[in-house]
Amino acid sequence: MSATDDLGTQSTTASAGIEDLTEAGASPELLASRLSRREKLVGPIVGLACLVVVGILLTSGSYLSTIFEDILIFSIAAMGIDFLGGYGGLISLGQAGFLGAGAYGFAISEQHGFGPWAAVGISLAVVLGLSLVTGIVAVRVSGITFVIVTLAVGQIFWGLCYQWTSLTGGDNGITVFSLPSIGPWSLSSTMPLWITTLIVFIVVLGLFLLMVRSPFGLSLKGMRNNEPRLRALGYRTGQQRYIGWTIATFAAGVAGVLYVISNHLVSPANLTFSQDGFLVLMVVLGGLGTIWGPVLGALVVVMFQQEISTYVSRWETLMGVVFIAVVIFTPGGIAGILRKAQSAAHRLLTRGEGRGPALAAAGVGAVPAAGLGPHAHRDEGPTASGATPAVVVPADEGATATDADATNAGRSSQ
Amino acid sequence: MSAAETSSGAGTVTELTGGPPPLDGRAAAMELEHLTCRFGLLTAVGDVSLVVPEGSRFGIIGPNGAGKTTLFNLLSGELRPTEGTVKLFGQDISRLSPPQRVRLGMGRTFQVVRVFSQLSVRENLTLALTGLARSKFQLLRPWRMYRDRQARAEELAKSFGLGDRLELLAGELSHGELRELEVLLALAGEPKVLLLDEPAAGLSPAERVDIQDLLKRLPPELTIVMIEHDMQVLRGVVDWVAVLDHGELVTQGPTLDVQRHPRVRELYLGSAAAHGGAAAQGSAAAQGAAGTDGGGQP
Repeated sequence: MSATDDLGTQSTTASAGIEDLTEAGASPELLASRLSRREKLVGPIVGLACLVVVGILLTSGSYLSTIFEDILIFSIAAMGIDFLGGYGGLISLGQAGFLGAGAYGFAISEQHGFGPWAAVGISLAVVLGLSLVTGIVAVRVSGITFVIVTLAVGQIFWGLCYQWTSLTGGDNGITVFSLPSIGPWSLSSTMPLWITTLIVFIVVLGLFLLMVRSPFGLSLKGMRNNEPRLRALGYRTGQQRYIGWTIATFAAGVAGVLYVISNHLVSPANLTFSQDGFLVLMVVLGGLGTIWGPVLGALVVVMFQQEISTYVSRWETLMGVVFIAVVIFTPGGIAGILRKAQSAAHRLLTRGEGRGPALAAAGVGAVPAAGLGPHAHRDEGPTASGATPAVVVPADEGATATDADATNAGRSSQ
Repeated sequence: MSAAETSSGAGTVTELTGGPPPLDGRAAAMELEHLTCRFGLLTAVGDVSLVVPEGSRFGIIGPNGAGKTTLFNLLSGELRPTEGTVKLFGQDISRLSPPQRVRLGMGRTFQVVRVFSQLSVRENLTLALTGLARSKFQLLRPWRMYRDRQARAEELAKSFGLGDRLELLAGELSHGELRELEVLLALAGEPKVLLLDEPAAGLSPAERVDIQDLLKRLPPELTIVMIEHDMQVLRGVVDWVAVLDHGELVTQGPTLDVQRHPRVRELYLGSAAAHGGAAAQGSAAAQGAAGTDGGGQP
């Protein structure tokens, strides 16, 4: 409920803010777009820069570089969930299954005598095939049914990996020995592996950022917001879902291939329900509907799993508490916190410039509001509503239910 | 239905016959033949036959619960008829989905405003303009880069007074502006037939005038079918009116004649049926029969 109010208040401030700016003599649209563009780029750039710097610093120590590879790899899978969930309103709980399919695809191909590169190709083809087939079922439903269907798909994959021992090695999983290489650039050594992972991550991140701004991405948002209206405009929403599903699950497959190359091992443990839960957790924690938010979410979750768990044995409980706190206090996730911090900084800066009391006063309301302006709002809309059930402006009960349900499911999974 | 029997054929209708509107050489944009929709035992729309000539402004009135919106949902494909057919320019579209009908040139608005409230007005219009384009599947080019489409969105918004609202979230618009945006969304796909479901519902008198003006300015070749509860809004916008009650066609005719029709006056001014809702169901059969008589014997 509070998120509804929150959203409402912000909306009014935004419009009020724009008017204030007009009075101050600036073109509101120009200012808003300039601010929002800057704001939009700051997050990804700072985040990426941090990752690159830290990564390069850490490549000497192979343990920490493994952690950062995991962060990037799970980010790729989590961004897929965010693409379909944060924009299209369809939270998938079967993503780990596709990550596993990618990993097993590579490992099994290798076992059957294919070279590492062929194994990568086969694995991705298998994932694509599985996405296309399962998509036929998954896109026929929405809301909580979609969550359950995707969960079922994921569990089927898990069951197959666990019980089809002749193919998958059962509980023991499969260890891979030979990894792809180009000449001296072999993924079995730390540095090339790290850089390759980073490059794949950046490419996937870039693609997702592009896709959510494309006409297709816009139609996903429209579907999430008001599906009947979208249908009345000539969109076949089933098709939109199918494409979105294929993209999201394919991203998980890519993550899976990277995972098995980085960890040399895949086992049914990678496909369990709790893995699905962790992935959704990354998305909600980082900020639903932001694409780069899940990267931050993955950072936090992997840090909990790998680092904090060595000091606190009940790290999962601790993570649960953190998760609940984030969801209650900042429905926008970590991305939401960063946005707020940024607008607060803006506010301070504007005030510091001391351009007369009138403008400073306008600045308090105007700058953050305009910065958050129409653009940021749109990003925040899904975020806020995704994180707290029973949110959202009237007129589309369907989408609200979807998110509320999906989030509940996401929560209960952690 | 009696409407068909007493088809007058004459160009000028001074006395209400209940027959279909004269085509005067125009094609029939929509034809409804014995359209029926039942929900269990309830007949929401019963055996309605109508002909909507191309380029006409066709009003559908009736009290609450008369089946107007159900009829609309049958036309736009949200519901499938139990019996009967819907034709769009001669083609049977009864079994097509809403997006397929949109593709054939149909646009609609909803009684309860349906816009993308979490998206900006610009994004709303962009979605509407992209709906029939192949580029809706474009993944790697930002939608803002489609300059022509953006120019068209701005032009549409300006033409209906939303020019300075483009960057606002649709959820922040006033109710009147939302109604206008909704009509714009339907128009963006350049439909040949526009279905308007109570475009003036919930508007202030001043906003009603605005939306009336907007409707009057629509291109004359566009066929408009419009549901309205309020006779005042229909007047000046539509030239032909069909009256529904309890899912059945009571009568139809030129707007002014229908307004004078005793049965219509009864529906609107006196009878219990005008208050719709619970009272309606018990006496449905009797009322329906009365409606048919009214249509047959003017």
